[in-house]
Amino acid sequence: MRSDQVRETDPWARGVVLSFDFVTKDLKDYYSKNSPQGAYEVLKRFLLKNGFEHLRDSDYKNKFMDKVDTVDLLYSFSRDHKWFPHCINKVNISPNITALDISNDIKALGDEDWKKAQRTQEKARKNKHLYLNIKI
Amino acid sequence: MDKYNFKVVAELRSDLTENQRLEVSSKIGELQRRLKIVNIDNETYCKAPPIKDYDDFGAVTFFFSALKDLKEYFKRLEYYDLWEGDKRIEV
Repeated sequence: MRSDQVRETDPWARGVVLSFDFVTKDLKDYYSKNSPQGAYEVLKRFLLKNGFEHLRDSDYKNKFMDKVDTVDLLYSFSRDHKWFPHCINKVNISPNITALDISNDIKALGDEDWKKAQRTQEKARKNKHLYLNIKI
Repeated sequence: MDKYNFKVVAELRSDLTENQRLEVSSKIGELQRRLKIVNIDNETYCKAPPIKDYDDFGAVTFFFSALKDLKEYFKRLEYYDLWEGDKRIEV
């Protein structure tokens, strides 16, 4: 880090990640008996409309919203969708922390000679088995 | 009293009619009951103990969101995040 740069210490500075999960039985009772999973789509549409980005499964990210505004948004959703509070299993709001993807960098450190030797050994093992099977 | 991390300051307007005062007090009371919020002085509300690891965030913040629906009855409605030093003034 350059000495003239200020480290960002507020973990919430990059927004929030919202994760939720429903109880399927409760969705059947209070949302829809035939298509309970449709509730995920309803909430997804609402979150996307309100600036959230879908990450994976039921995880959504908003880089510009803070935790209080997120609660406010969920409160307004609950007010308009009475089934929502009755079907929730878990709702988590966490800071949107930047993930540093180092996969390619660690792959670049792999010893190619070692990898080649492993492949040669494996090939020799297979050939030996083949030879023994033919002999028998 | 456990150390709380979030609080709401809500002060009713002094010019409310008796009926309005009763109606809004009843709504506040119902929210307090549902969210387990206690009134620690005339205007300050926080989560009832026990409070552990900032778990008063949800209750107090939902309480504040709900009170914003009744904002016309307040002369003061404020939210304090003592954990991170945030303050919201609704009225």
